[in-house]
Amino acid sequence: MLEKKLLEIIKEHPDKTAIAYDNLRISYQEFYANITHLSNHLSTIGIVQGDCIALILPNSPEFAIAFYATAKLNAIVLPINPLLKEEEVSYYIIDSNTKAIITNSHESENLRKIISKIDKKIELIVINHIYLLTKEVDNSIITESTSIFKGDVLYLYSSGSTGKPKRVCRSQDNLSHEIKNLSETANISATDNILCIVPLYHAHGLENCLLAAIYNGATLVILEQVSHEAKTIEVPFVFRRSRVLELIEKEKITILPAVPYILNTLAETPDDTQVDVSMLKLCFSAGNFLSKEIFDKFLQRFGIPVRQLYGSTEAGSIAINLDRDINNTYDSVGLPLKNIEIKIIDDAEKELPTGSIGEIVVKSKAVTKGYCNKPEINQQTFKDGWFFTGDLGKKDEVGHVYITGRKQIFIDTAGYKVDPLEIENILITHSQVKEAVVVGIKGLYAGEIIKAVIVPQNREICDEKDILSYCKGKLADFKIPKIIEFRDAIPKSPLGKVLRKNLIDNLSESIKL
Amino acid sequence: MKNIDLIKQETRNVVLTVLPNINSEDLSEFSNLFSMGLDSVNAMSLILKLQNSFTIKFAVNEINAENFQSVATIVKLIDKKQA
Repeated sequence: MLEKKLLEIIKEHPDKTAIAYDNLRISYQEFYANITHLSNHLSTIGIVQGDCIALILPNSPEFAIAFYATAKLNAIVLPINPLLKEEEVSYYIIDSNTKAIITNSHESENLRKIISKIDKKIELIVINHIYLLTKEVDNSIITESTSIFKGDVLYLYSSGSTGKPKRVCRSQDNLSHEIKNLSETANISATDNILCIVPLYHAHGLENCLLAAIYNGATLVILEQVSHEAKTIEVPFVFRRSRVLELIEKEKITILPAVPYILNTLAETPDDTQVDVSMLKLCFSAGNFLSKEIFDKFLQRFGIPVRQLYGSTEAGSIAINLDRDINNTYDSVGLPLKNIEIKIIDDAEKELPTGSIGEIVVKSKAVTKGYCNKPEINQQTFKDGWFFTGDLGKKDEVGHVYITGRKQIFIDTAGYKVDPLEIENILITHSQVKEAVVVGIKGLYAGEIIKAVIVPQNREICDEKDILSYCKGKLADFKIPKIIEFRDAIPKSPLGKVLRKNLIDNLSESIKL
Repeated sequence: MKNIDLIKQETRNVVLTVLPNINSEDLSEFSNLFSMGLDSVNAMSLILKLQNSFTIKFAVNEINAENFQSVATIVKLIDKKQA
């Protein structure tokens, strides 16, 4: 399905730029030639329909090519954050039964080591730079490829309140419906230029940037990566702000998908810096609640109201606030996208009246058929075509949806959603840690700061640096706690529930990071 | 002490304040700060502390990865601004 849509676009706009990356411009025709080249290679190493291929690549044209090359073979893409550490990567590769990994030379040595410890054959495909094939796509290829494959194409992991992350499988049919729904609702077309500054390994980047652009024949402008000693490194967004503003102006960006932290950093651009954002028609925020403060700051700085989008790993984009008069509804995620139904229900699964808070349930052809190998959870989460999000919300009289509570606790640090339980599970395996609770504390500039409260086995020998270095070997850097506080006991309710709020309040005033 | 040496010393001090888990001896003039823990959470602190220490204001286009990758590049930027 995804390939068929791409071929329709190529027929219409063969020479239009599909992807812009630094000085590189790849036309739709060149994009497809590269996809075909890579998919032929994958085919020769035995990749077939239903096989899982992990992509461990930074945001780059190679990522986009690898995604479509995998989809062309009716295989399944598992995008993995390149910043993850060995244990994290191993879990995903083993759980998903990955057959091959596509990466670049910077990551390859490390991945070889990881693969050598796994007792099964996994091919490692290293792609550094795109080949820039310019072969024209002839009509025979287009005719050959008209069969429509609707099956599985994407694995993403959704962390839950218990146990390991759950694998969500989405089909080509799901993704096609999702992008169609978003495009029709937000009027995305071939005339758009979408700037990708959020990670492509995440649903927000993959679906709202890459797929939204390619499905519509638009141009995807990818913010280039920063390298040090030939290795891609993570650079704080504030050091990319100037380049992002330059790209918005130079590439005539019309759509900017972002997260609250990025929008806040952009909005803090001093007034004496001239920025032309006149082409920007849609700027939307996903991933976490957009505060009134950031909404106002961005509106004041650029004259553009940020639109909130609500989505999930299981369903993709669900609702967006495109209200003309958004000042009164800025905190709403708006109306459901076209072809999506949203209900607010009570514990008895009965629909609630306007204004009442209950669980948000969603019906759409974009929703996954379920978590892999989790029949019991699937029974509770997917009922009669409805996806029970676990999030709490309400509707107003017009139908605007407001999110009032999330099912999952997570820490929003610099745009990353971090599951505190994942860090706690690592901390507790340290020999000197008796109990550990991880919380997020409001920071001044980049969302929350991760704090670990630890009850040590023996305070005399339990060392903060030793604990941090232990975490560094097992967790991606952005998940490492910034603050470690030792306590004699964790505050708990009479029923034994950890009182996380007490751990957040105590230090919040002293944080000046 | 020459002006450039003073800038170097003060910049090092500021960087070490912002990255408290780094040992002073591990921080060379050319160490890549992004690889040593300079991240989104502490980046603004570094910028503001440098601006306060040297009584300067960085322009938006000066706040980039190239200028802030190491003590040496920050020193070069500050020296240029003070010239």
